[in-house]
Amino acid sequence: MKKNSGLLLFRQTALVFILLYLSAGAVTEAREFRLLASSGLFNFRQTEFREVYGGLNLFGLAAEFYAGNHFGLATGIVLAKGQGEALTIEGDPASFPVSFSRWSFPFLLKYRVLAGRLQLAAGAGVAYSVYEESWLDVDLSSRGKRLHFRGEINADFRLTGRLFLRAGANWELIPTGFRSLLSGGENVNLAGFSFLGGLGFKL
Amino acid sequence: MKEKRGQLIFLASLLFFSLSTFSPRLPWTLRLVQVPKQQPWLEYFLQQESIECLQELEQSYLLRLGRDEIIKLRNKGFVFRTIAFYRYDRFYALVRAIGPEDLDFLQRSFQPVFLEGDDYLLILREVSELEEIPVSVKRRLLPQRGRTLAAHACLPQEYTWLFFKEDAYEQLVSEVSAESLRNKVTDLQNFNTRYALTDNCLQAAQYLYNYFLSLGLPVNFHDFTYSGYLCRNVISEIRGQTYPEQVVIICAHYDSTSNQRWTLAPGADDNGSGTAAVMEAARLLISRPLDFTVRFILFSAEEQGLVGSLRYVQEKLNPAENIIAVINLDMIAYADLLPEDLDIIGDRSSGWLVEKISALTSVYGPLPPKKIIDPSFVYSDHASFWDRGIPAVCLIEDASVPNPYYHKTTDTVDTLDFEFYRQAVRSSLSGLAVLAQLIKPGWPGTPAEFNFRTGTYASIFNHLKAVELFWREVPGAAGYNVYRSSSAYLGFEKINQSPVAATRFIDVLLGSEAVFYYAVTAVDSLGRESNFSRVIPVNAGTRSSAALSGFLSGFFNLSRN
Repeated sequence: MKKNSGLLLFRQTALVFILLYLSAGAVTEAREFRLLASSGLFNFRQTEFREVYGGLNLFGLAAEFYAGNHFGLATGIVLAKGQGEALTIEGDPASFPVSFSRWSFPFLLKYRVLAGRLQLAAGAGVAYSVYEESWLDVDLSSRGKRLHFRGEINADFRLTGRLFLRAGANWELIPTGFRSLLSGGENVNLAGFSFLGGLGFKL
Repeated sequence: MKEKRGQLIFLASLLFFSLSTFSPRLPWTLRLVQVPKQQPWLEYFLQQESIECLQELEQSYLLRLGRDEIIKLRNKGFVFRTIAFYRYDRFYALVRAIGPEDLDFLQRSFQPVFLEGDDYLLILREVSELEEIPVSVKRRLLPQRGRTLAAHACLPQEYTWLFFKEDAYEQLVSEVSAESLRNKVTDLQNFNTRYALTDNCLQAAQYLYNYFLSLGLPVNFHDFTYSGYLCRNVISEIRGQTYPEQVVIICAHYDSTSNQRWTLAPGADDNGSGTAAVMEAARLLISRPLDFTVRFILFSAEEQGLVGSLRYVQEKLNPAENIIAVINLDMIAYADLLPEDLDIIGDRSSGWLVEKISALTSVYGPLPPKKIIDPSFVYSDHASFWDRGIPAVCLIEDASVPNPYYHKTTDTVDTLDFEFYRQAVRSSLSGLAVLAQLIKPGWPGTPAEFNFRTGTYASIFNHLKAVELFWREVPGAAGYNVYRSSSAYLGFEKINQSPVAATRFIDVLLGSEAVFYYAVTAVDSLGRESNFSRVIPVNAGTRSSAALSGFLSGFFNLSRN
């Protein structure tokens, strides 16, 4: 039931974005297509999760379509991955290595402002994430998938006519609906900030 | 005058108020209560309430209860009878009077309280009163501290033990010498009497002391007084090479009695036979390395009501040690029928030990063992260990057909059957060596320093309670096997799929509240497996997720942004 409603929301949001994009395209001919490779760090909002993993390494590929000077759509694929050690809650400390990975497929509406070689942009939308946590020495793992909110801001600096550098930050809220000891018995929210940098190419 | 009267009235009022408000609660007198067995949930109730059982009889329990406990017992609908008020300045002795003359004597001289069968309770002002009782009456002083019933006691039928002859053990028992045993029993008999209150008994103690000393073993006396007389337990040991704190005891009483006990009590069978067997075990084990410590104890004043062993468990038990088992030898050389069987008697908690020694008796005696679980068989030194919850067995020649020379001046070496005796000693020695674990030359060494730590560990989505087992590396070992059981003594199952290469193993205790027992062995490239390490108990005690979250919130003050 939950899964179906999530997919429905994803489809509805995608449809809205496509309509917005097409309507923007109808009013202007200035279309722009951008490809971007980036990497960075993801930091969990919750302290205990950060204690387990520290920052997760982040790798992403993104594609952006601007139908005019301001509005555009962005999508892509992002991998957040890291290893850490389970926290000792009680008893003697022992080392239990754990790993976490999350694949995300964002779909965002973006708004940009151009200022010479600089482009400032902000976006918001949804992302579909598939995540998995595994204990490496013990047969213990959990996985799940969620449609969730994602927002981002970034600044691009044009190096040449087509190449540009990007620095940005993302904010995600990922309520999983899964209760956990480390979240004090409450639902786990994988929320956190990402800081990214990358190199882009304008078609 | 008026003022004085006023003051008096005030003081009287104050006194009345104080007495009425703070009247001290009189201490409730403890009572001795006999509760018949075969009452549904009785044992469960006694365990849950941690009620101390002073003595388990064949058909009933003898309990010492306070007021609240009696009320609980009554409210639960259990049938019981109050025998007497319990006083700490009295001595309580359990006696077994089989003959009518013995019973007549008891009724004339004491006021015995009938318990069941041939068992009576005597309440004594002085412990020396026991000396007046005929030697044919078995007796035992009740301990001042009882013990709670074991939560789990294995009955012999619950499992079987199968042993195959191993060269190292066969070689050991083959060295038991009937001649050596005969010499030792003769030496003991030659003291004329070893009645605990005589100088001869002290000389016998010195003889035993010198014997252990001559083997090069550390030896000491455990002195105590009984009725103003000095008595001496003799204690020696071979220290274990891998886990010296793990101890197996072989014991016997060396004192004797008879109807002329002050001058003539040769006690060849009772208990020169057990004493000589302990001496023989020391002689044969001295040159062999063992994983665990073997302690040889020769008790005095057993005939006075197990006084020597009672004092030993009161004064000499070391909390840093773990006594794995006790083998008590008492009359193991008289055979009325051939083939005579060897009785191996334990209480319910010692069922595993009865089984183990019985299996070894069949293989290494070889003798037909008779396995007996009888908690009311308390008239020898093993009972003092039962009181402390220590697994113990008594090895005795067929007890149902008594030695006709028992407690008589005719209990001499010429009445003994030395072939039966040799086989009984082989049986007990094999049991001792298996329990203490002979280190077999050429085989992988036993993993030492086996220990554990436990904890609860959590990641974002998962948490577990785990036990991390670790041990010292064994030179030449190709790997290690880890064993787990829910019992300390049996049912160990290997939990690793293939030999563990590291000296560390993690076992996850998911959702269990039980106590698990672990041991580890080393295996070499030929697949030969070492002895077990020591067995360690681990309380799984996993908390539920909800309980743990409360725990976390309370103690770690978890913050969520």
